[in-house]
Amino acid sequence: MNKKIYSICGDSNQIVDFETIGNDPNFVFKNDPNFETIVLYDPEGNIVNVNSWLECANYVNGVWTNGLYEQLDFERMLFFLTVSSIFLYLVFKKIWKVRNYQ
Amino acid sequence: MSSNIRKLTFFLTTFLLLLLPWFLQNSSEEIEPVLIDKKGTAFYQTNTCEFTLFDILSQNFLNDEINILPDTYSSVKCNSKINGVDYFESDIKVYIGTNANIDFLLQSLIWLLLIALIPKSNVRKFKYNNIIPIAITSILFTLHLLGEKNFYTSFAKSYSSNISFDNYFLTSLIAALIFILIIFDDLLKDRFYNLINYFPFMFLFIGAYNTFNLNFYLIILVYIGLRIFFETKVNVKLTLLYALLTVFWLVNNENIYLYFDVDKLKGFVSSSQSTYSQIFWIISFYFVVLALYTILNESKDFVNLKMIRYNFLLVGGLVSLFGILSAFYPFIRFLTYYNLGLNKLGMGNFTAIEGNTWRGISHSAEALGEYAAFTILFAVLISFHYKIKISNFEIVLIFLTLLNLFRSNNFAAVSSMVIFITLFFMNQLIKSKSFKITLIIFVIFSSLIIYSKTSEYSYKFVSSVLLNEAVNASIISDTLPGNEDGFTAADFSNFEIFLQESKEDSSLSSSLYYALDQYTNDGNIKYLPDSVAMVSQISVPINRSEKWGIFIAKYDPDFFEFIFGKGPLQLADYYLSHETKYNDGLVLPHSSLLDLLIFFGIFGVFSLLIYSTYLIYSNKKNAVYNYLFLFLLINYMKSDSILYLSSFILLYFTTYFYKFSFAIEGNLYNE
Repeated sequence: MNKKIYSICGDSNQIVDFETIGNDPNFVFKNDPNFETIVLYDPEGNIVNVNSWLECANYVNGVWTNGLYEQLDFERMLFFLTVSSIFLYLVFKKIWKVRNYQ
Repeated sequence: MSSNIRKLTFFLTTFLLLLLPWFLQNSSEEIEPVLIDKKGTAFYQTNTCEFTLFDILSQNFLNDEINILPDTYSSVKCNSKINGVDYFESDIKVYIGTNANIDFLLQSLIWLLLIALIPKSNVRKFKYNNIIPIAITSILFTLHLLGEKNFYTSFAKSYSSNISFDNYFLTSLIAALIFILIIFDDLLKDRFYNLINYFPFMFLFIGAYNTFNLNFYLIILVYIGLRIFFETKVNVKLTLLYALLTVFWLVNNENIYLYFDVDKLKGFVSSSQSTYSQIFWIISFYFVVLALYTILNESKDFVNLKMIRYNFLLVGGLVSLFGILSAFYPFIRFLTYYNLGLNKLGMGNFTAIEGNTWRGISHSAEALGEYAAFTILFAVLISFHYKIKISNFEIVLIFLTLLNLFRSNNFAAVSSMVIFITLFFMNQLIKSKSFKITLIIFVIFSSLIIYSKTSEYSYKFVSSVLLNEAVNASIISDTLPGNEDGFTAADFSNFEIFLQESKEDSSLSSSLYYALDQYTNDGNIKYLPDSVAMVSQISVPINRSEKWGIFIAKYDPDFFEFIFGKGPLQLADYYLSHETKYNDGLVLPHSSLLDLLIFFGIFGVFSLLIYSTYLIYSNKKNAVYNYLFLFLLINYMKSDSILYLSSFILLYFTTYFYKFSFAIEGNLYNE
């Protein structure tokens, strides 16, 4: 299962057959009273409220996100970028020092 | 690397850091930006997050209808883009997306580049490596982010207080902090002794982060303090006393996640009352003071007064220049705010505001006036006392600084500057000591007589106006019955009525209740005027009756809190815990002494007053030191300057200016 789905919709043991849901035009998602409604957005800015984990997973499997995922994704990227910069800076510093001593 | 290539690389990097973020993002290729006017507002409201700041520049650079503001809650995707436009009768507000993670890295790198511009001096060798100081600074930084969560949830979309590796908001910020400290450490070693000569630039590059309640200089001073702590002998008695006070402050603190809107105080005051936040500010304050003390103490042989004077004046001139440019061009106003790290956006016009004051890019007109007057006083005293020739360019800078001074309309700063300059020249010209004393006594008495004769207020009114203001600021004033003209007991100074209830049953603050009791029940000490009436009389000519009255209405400490305070930079409790008419909006005490009373209690205030008196007395022959120190003390008594890091450092520098006296003479001969 896509990591993005768990990140946005939360954990679940359900195994989803997205192909079956996609091929059934009459498929109706049942509301889960224990599931806290999540707002999802598509790239055009359309909004949908999902009321079950299955519905959420189905949408996220497409192009929908909660807006925050993208944000977290960027922050993860920024984190690794910064850590790499620290590493590179220290390596260059070391090389610079060695060159100056020679 | 040759010097030219190095310079070119430096300017290119600076240019890229300053401008690149504002046009780096992908813009819409299908639609073209339009002029932002009433009609264009709808266009930008429909097409949010499409255009960068630079996309709209060509169409709108001279558009004085717009006011560009940061949208601090922006997603990364919309960082540096137009996120919203609102039409108002007065102006059109254009919101540019700014993101916390990007701000922290970007703004820090800009300011680090400026530190790199400070010329190298002797190398300051540190005994131990920097791993522990970096680790402790990172822990403190995390405590701050966790302790002020109400502040950060309103500034950062993905803020989370979870301590986990998956919390990339936090981990990327900590990684950025470590990166910044590693670079800073390399810059510091070669420039440590030269920092003092360039500190006036803190009044231009204020260093407040756009989306953080933090200041760049606070972070680096805490780091320097930690670096020094492990290798120098700290004052054990003072450290132990501070540790004891820390225990008291923490035990007495009610752990509440309040949200105190720090507004223009951003970066040097706590926005919460949580224990984490309090620990952060208490520890940070200690290391900031330790760092400042060590820098000043160890740099005394490297002080170059000529350079400090030049830098003070240059900053004065640049503040004036940026203030004028910001007033006319909204783009420059926004970029100035972001790149200089201003506490708030500069003024959008060159006309004066309330009280005929103009603050330019400064956080307050009062602070602008104080800086300008201090700069001129410093320049005059240093130039004449040490006979350091002043250049033509510096004279131009003096005129620009004078422009700040007169536009700020800070009467106290102007008059105290004139008085100290006059005293200085009088001291130089008149040799007879007895004549000087007679002249000073004559001037003081004649001024008092002229004031009392020309004052339009009665003695009784002047003595009680402070309490009138305090009662009017209390919620009790709403319930007071009025006479046929609407005047209440407070207006007639019938304060006995408020003392009919016991303190416990009264809705008055403890300080107001005490002051009313003192004023009403003849708490006078024989031969001394009533203390409340005396403070009231002082407050009238310096226009502080209303502000100090509000302070008395709000300040509600218990006994121990009155003695030892709430801890450094803790205003949230004072501000929000006792209900008055002024719990919204930033109405500050308007006296650094009152700020210190909140932080360190009466014990702290008296200790500092005694120490200041001792310094003045023991340096009585050092006129330059005493004039500069007294100038700041007098002006800070009626302003909240101690709440701004740059002004706090200026006071610290001036307090220890006497230490440089001998070294300065030596440096001058060496030049």
